[in-house]
Amino acid sequence: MTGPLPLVRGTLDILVLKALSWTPMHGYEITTWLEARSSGALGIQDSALYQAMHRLEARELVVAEWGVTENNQRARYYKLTRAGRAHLVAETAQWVRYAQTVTGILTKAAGPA
Amino acid sequence: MVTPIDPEVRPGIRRLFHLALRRRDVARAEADDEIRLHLALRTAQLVREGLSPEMARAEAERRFGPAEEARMDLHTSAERREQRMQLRESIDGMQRDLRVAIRGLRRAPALVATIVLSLALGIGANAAIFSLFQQLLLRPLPVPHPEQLVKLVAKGARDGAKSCGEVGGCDETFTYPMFRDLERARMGLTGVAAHIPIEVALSFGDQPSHERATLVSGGYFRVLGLRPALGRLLEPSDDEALGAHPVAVLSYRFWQSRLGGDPGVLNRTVSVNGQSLTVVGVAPRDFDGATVGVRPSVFVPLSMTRQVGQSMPGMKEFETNRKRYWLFLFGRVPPGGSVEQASTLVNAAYRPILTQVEAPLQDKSSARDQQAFLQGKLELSPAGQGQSDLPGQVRTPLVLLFAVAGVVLLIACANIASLLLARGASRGMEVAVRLSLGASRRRVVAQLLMESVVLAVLGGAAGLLVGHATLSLASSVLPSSLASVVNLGLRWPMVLFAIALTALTALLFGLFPALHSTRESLVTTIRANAGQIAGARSTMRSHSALVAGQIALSTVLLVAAGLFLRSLHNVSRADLGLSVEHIATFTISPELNGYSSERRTQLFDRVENELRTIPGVSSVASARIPLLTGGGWGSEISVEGVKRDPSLDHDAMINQVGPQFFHTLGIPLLSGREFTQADRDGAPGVAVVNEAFVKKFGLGGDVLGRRAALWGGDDLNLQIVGIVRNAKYGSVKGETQAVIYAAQHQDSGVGAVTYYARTTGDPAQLLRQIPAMMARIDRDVPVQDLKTFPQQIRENVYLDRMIGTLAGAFAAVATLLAAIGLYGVLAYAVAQRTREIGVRMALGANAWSVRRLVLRQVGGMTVVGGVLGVIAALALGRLARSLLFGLEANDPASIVAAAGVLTTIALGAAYLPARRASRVDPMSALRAE
Repeated sequence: MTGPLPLVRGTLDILVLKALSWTPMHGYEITTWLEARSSGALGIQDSALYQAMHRLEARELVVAEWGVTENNQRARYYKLTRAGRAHLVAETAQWVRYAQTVTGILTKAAGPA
Repeated sequence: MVTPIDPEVRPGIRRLFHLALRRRDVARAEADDEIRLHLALRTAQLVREGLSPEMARAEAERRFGPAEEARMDLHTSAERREQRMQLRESIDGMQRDLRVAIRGLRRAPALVATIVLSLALGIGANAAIFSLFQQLLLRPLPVPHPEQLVKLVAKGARDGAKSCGEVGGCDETFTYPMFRDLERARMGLTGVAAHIPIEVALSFGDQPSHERATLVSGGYFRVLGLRPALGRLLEPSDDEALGAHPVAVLSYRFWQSRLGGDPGVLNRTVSVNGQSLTVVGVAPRDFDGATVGVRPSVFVPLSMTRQVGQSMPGMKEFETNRKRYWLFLFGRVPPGGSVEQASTLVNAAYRPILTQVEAPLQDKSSARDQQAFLQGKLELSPAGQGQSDLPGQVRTPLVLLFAVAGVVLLIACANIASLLLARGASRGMEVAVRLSLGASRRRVVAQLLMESVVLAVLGGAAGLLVGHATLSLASSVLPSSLASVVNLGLRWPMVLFAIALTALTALLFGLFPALHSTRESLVTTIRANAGQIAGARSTMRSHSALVAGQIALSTVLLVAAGLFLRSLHNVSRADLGLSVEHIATFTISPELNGYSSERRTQLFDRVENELRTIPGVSSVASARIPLLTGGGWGSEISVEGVKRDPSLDHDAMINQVGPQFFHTLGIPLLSGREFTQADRDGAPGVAVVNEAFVKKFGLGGDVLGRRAALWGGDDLNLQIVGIVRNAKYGSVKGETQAVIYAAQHQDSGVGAVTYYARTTGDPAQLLRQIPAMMARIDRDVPVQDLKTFPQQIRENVYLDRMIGTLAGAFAAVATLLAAIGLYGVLAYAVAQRTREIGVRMALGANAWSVRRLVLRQVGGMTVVGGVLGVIAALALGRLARSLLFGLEANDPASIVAAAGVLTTIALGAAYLPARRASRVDPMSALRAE
């Protein structure tokens, strides 16, 4: 295990949706949530995450609203929409199937089919 | 943790309150705020983990990404997000508005029906007139670069015989030698071409049909720049030696309809006026010749004029005759060249021919005329729409009808605006609530406009149907030659025009009420909740203005319709000097079959005799020049005892007629006798003149027995044997002319004859018997222009009929619309004033005084609108003056009638609301509040 893993394209969006599936969060909360879950193994630049948020917001998978943090700082909170939740379920199922298939092929010994 | 966000907030909610719409700079500032917070939180965390504040800050920035670049990226993505959301916003908004509008309109079917009908009538009328306008006046010839085409017009006096008419005026005609001179010189233009439409009998070895043909010079198709649909077109090599090029090109339409588009037609022989020609090609699909209103079936080289042009009079030695003007010329200005340049160069070629070759031939005219002849020059005028007399005839009527149709549309818009205004006022509360909830005025206006858009689209679609019907109505009064040019189908220009008009009207009638009902003052007063809709007074004022405007416009239309209908009435009752009822008429032209004069005489006699034997036919007449068809034939007449003086006009119209002509057509014989069977070739020449002739030549009482000659000849070979009363000659609206009638049977050169058969029965039945009779006599001679005489006369005055019919129909529609508008406004006003009326009645007002209240309102609007309308009608009357027959544009009867109709309509529209007002129950009216 050397260095952070590069992110497969499009994965970040699903991870963000997953983060928000629990509760609305602001940008930094999402970052730390992802870092905690991946033990820092994923090489995500923080700014990329905000771009992902903008994308998701434009597709109406999340909505944003200004709120206040526990320390009374003004923060932009993101929340999953109904469409976002459905998207997350569908994408997760697909991701799992994909990963299983690829893993299955890669971990078996090579030979005639 | 999160506090402010309602967990159930849906994305649409933000939109509902229009909170999502952020501007670009706001979106950027928000992105910056987010970055700042992120960096601050990250730094704080790193400090907690043990880094120094400076190192923590640097590490936070490193993890965020390349500072400036990341910021820019975020700005861009934030902006893109806003754009996309705004776009979706407006689409969603429109969809929602659409749904709301449709739902709202479905609750008011009567309103929708009224509005859609009004719009359909307004848009339909305009689309139909536009279609006529476009097809008759604007449509360019289907050739490459039609804008380069110019026609040649000879300015200046010219002595000689001219054949003018359907292609153009007399100054557009040229002699054959002059054309060849110009064709050879042709400087300044990339080619000059000549053309002249003729009548032909055409056959492929079968029974001949009567068709139009066009004689064209060799350069005709080249100058037009056309490519053949089949075979080849006519070339300069087909137009070299006279009589040596027996070839022809068929029109696409004829090829399709008569030959089913058979490609084997090439090299087949077609007989045109008895001359065999080889078909060498077919003209392109949409090309119907260069003259609107003439659709030739076949194009024949000019070199074959002698062989196929028998129907044209006075063509002896046409190839050298420099005083016989009969060809129409057009050319093409070179690409990039100007008309002025071309004109200078063309005149440089024309003037020498005129002054050196032709001037000496004008020696018979007076010195002044010769001088004028020498001043002659050529003008080039645009001919991109072809060369035709038609546009000149129909332009003024069509412009006028366009104006009338425009007024109808304006009335419809005013009507709809006032209906929507009333609706807007009754929805004032709803609008106010929405505005006070924070919806922007723009959004509310947009929503109200959406209602107009839906109505406009429905109205526009229905308008196309109405337009189609109007077009059919218009074309039903067009003569067949014109009707064939007008395409009645829904064509793109018309549809596009209707769409543009629809969009325009939606704005026109929608914007005003929408803006009106969202006005600030209205809103505040309603917010104050005054209990009754305030602002009603200003709404009422707008209403009254709209209705007064409608009444004014209707007055204009009613006056116009009155004028045209009275004019049409005058036309239909015009004293023709002959009786037209119970007469059937048709023409035969055996000359076109190449029949000898002997054979023609036999045929003419036989037809006359056979016609008499048809049951019901009481008498039969024949004439060389058909009556009241617009055609004519005139010349200088020499009369015994009348001194010849070149400065005096000694011209009269000529006709050659058979026995019993005056009796059959009901032209009274004043003295002497009419022609009999005895007046034949060989017998002494005889003539009959009309009263106008006697007066013009100053013959007084001493007329019978005098001798005369046609064509200003010196041999006075005709003796005047009768005087008849004046009768119209060429056209119904024409002036009475001096006419000399000669005996048709004394001229063996007559090639075509028109018959008039008077029947005691139904002339329509006679029409059915005539073709069978002609087929029995000679199946090779086609029957032309078979119709009843009244029908013939109606075609002669088709413009009057078209204007009268359409203007009358439009005015009726407009008046109906105005009546609906007036009724709607008054009903609304009464409803609004229910409480006031109740108070008045509670205080002792009686039913009559309440009615007077309503009627006063009507009276005011009617008087203001009516007076304005009459003033406008008088001003516009000048445009119509040239189209009126037998009355002036300020005809008092029409104005009085219009005023009468309007007053009746206004009072009629007011009756129901006034009655309702007078029956208001004071108690319930007051309790309702």
